[in-house]
Amino acid sequence: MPLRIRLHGNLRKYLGGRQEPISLDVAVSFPLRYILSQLGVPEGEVWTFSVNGGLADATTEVVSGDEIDLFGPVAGGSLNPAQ
Amino acid sequence: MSFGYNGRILRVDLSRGEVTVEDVREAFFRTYFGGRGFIVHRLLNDVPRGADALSEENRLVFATGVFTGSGLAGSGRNSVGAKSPLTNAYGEAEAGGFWGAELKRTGYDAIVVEGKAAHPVYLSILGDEVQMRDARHLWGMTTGESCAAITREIGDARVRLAQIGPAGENLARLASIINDLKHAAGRTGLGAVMGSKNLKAIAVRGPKGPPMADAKKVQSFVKWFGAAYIELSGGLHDVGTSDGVLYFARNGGLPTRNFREGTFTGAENISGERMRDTILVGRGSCFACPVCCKREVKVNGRYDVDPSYGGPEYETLAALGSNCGVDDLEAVAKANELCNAYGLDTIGTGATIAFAMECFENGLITEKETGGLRLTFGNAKAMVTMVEAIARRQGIGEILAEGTLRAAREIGKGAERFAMQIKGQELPMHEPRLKPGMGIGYAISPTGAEHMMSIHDDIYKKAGADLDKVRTLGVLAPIPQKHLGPEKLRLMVYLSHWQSFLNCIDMCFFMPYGFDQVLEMVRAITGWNCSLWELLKVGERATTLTRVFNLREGLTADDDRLPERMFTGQPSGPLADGALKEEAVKSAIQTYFDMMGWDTATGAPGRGKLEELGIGWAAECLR
Repeated sequence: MPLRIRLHGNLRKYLGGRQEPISLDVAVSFPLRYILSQLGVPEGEVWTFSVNGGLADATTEVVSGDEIDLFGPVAGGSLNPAQ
Repeated sequence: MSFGYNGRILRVDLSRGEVTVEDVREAFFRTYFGGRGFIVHRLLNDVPRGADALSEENRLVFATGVFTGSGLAGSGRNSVGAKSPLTNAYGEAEAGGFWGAELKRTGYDAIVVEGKAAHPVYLSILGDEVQMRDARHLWGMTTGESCAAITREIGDARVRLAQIGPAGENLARLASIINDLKHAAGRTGLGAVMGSKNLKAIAVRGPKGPPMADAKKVQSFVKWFGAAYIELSGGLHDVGTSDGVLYFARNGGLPTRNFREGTFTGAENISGERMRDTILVGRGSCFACPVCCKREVKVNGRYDVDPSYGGPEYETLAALGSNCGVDDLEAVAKANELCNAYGLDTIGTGATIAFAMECFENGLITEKETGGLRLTFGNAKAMVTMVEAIARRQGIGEILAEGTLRAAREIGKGAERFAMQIKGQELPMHEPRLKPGMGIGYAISPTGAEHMMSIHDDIYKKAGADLDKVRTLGVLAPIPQKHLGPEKLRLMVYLSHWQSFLNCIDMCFFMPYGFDQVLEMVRAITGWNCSLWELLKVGERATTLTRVFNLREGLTADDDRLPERMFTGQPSGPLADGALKEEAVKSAIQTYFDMMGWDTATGAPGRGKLEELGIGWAAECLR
């Protein structure tokens, strides 16, 4: 099973307009930081890393079949003055 | 000649059936700018101390700001205010859509409603032609039904409505005022004030807004934003505010089962992405805004949901979804539709149902009181049923329509510990244990728990676009998310002045404009040689007057507090160790008072502060 990656909030700009999750076929485990570099997402723009619903960080190792969510700053229903 | 405002207020005395026009001087407008500033000035001067919020003595003020109707994205909003029947304090709510811009085109900046009509009426304001029209045949109708009937009677499909549904008519303290069918002035129970005055709706249609000082410059901003909004607005176009559901769920900040928990296994099912991929049929807009962050959803099957009533936003998905333990998106969509049709605040209604569910699960209310309904967390059908019961005050809906604080007192048996409210208003869906600064904002907000007067602690925790923006105010370094020291309070004070200012000009909070851009827009609209300092002072002035109003009405610093639950950790998840510390919260509130020039013990603005803001006259209200 491939890795499934979703980008949220401001990070959507790195999706190039697509809505569906990104799938990546990986044979071995990688730290999330490597995935970011492959997607061209600057690590400093990620506010929350999540793997399979739990919190993670840039060093978390991910393997085939993992579901990854990357979030920029999200206000949700209120002021986010510099989105 | 005035630019950006009409300089005229419409006064409507429903008891006497009289309508008069009041001219407003430029100096007044430049002091208060409209919206919140205008409302609080009017309430302090017109509403007698101690007036019953649902009596003829209360005023209901609909106000626009200088930004409203300018044609800039985010200029469709209006404010509504009155003494709140939910909190007995300052009441205010903002609504998007088109009504505010249309009111401005009638030649009036604001409407002040007083008294009570002998029978239900609606106001028709078609330019200079103002009529009070019989609404007895409309009483009891949903917003959709009355919208169709009024539009037919006036004979103009382009007329815009601010209206109440059955909830406001029934004086539910959770009642909202709905612009057209889906833009809500949701909070502080203003729909009940409108209902208490026998006022079903205000229909507006006008020929032309006031001139602007530099229309070409305004237009250049419109063109720039039209080309740049997709990138500038993040995910707002794609999934709307519901982007927050998964973010907060992952961080332990998605209110779940009446704020007992902060992670929700059903979060995916009520996420913005799920909505987009299943029931979303359109992205609604407000006046002149290309972002289209509003949702329009359609459901056929177990529930039928009419897209005319829009779709749930983040606050609604959390309040009627996770906070009730419900992960059935179609049920949440139905509850949202019913709230807009009946005129109920989705936040307050969801939080009140969650409160009732916790009471039920703890045996404080039983199937005897619920009419056989098993009001348990996760029971989607019961949640939807309760929305209608609250709007119609049926069964246990009779006491739940009063909001959690009054319902808890009625139920007794210690039910108040389950009431997630401040000053009588239910908590919005931003978890204070994840965002402590937001919690302080909830506590000190003049309207009771309110998320539009505070900060999102997490977005300033490290370098980024948000921190870059506040560096222009002199806040230079990141501030840790859980920090509650002076650095956080300083940022909060600055931003709350700004947010208050935005509610004075009635600009949408979602616009990604910089401080200097807004300043340039205001200068272009009004022709005034404003500075950012002046605009921040406008916001501070309005906030300070709301504090004066509340002190005059008998509220004290003891009312500025968080629910006890916030001082305990969640049972599991990222915030298991996230309990707030009472002393830290108390100290932060005192620091905020001190920074505002308010007495650290009572929160009363000092005479010097009032004079510095040019509102020395308000000192009389504190005697």
